[in-house]
Amino acid sequence: MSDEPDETTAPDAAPASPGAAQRFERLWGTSPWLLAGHLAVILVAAYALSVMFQERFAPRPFNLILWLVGGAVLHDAVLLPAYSALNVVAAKALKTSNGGGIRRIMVLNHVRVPAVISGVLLLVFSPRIFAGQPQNYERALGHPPPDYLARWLAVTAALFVLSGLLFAVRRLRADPASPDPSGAGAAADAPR
Amino acid sequence: MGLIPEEPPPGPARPGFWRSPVRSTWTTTLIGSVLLVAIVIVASTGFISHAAYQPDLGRNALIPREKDLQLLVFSWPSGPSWLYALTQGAHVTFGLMMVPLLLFKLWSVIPLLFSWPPPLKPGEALGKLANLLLVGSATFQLATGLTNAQLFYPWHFNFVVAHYYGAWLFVASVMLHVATQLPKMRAAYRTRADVLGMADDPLRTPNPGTTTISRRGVLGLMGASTGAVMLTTVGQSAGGPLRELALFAPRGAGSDDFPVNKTAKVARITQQLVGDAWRLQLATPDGDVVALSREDLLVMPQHTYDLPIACVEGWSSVQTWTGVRLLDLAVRAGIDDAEQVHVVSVQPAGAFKQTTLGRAQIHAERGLLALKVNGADLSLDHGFPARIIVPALPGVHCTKWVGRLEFA
Repeated sequence: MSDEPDETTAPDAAPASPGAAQRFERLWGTSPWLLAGHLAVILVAAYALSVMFQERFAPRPFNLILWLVGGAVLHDAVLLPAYSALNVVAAKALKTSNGGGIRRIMVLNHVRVPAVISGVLLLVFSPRIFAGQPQNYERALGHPPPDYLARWLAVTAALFVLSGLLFAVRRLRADPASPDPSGAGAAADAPR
Repeated sequence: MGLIPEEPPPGPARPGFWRSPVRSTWTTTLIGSVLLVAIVIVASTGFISHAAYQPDLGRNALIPREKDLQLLVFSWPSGPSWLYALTQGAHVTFGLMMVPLLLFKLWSVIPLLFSWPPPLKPGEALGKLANLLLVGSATFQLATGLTNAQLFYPWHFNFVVAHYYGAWLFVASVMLHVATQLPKMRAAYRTRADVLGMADDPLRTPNPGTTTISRRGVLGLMGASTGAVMLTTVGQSAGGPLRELALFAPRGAGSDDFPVNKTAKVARITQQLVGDAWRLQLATPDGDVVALSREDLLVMPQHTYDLPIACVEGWSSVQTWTGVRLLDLAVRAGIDDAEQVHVVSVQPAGAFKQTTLGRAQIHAERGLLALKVNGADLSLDHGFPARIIVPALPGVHCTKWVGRLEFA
């Protein structure tokens, strides 16, 4: 199991006498063990999908396909590029990219941290924050749902206010000579 | 090989396109380890919940039994009373907490999605497909789970079947993934501090941008956002003062301390069905029926216990229930050593208007047909005139508006 699926670039520099496993790997691209693993997963997946896609459970198979692959595609093609772009814009606006200075980096992080927490809450609780199918809530609990959007806005505002207060406290107490607490150390990690 | 240029096209496949200096195999290993713990908790409590529905009894199976790939088959115990509240509360709370963990994990490995050259050999292509199955099933499980737990059903398929078999897709692909990544994880843990110098780390950017956050900062942010999800959810299971902190959970802050999963109105319960004419029908082994009015039940020995009602959607609530022991009712029906009881509600609508309970539930000391809660008659929404309440039993099997009990 020690072989990795991403050993793709350079074939081994001619071992003395390539065994069957090595020859298999050169042709197939992975070790026979990994192939066995792939086959086992395919077997389980085929069974699971065959039940999920039965007509009585999924009368509209295309809808199920959308849900099965949609999350991965939405994440890789929309969500990650979107928040990466936001991050780049924020860094550009604060000019942290060209050296920047510790104070600007601190500002960036005091914006980023509440933004990430608030964004995660929005994603996780989006069904209720955007009030999807409110009649389900009312029918189940017997009273109309509270205003979850207002709650999220209040939590978001609280997070930013808290972060701003913390920033103010840190700046007031900061000794200009002391190292930056948020970025310390990592700069030295960068290779080359 | 000749068709594929050696140099990747401009864009995310270029080395140096991804510039965060925090990405490394060590960072991914730490995030992945935390995520793995959450996956083990969520997957095992999920399979436990499937067993708690006792699909081997009566018509409990929500998935046709002959088609069901069951991991766990055992008769569900009737204690400790908080068992299902704990397992299902953990399932939903940790399931929601997995969302930020997965986001951080995917962020940390995104450069590998575009690794160059693209897979050319069949085995490599299979590896990419396995990753699609892994990420696809992970997002599928989280998306269907979190929407369902928030009473939002925007799909056109059977949730129970899809979420249960989605779990098989997810668990199988996670197992393969962990098996293939274990050597990397072990190497990362072994080298620890000097792992930063690990040779040929594919996740290390050759073109690092300005360091604006440390690895510790990223992990702290992951912890903070995961904690925020936990704090705003867990109160709907843990109750007490935490319930008021559960700002976004449907049965959290501002909702009743003693919520319902289905109102009498939705179950189409009418006054006629549960008024003075209501009788509990006890089927006897010789085919007769003993009809008991609510007054008949109230003169039988009454027992009072504090028991949680725990829903598959994750919320739970402990209340003080008073009623007749199921075992006493079995004896009244003429069966001394009942193995099963089929419970039928008078409700005309709903998937859980009938259920079958096993030996553990009938013989539980605190297994009740409840008539009162917190000293007062049950309200209509809570199942007047009589409802099942048994320790550790999933909420939907604590049938409300009971009309008939068939012991066997």
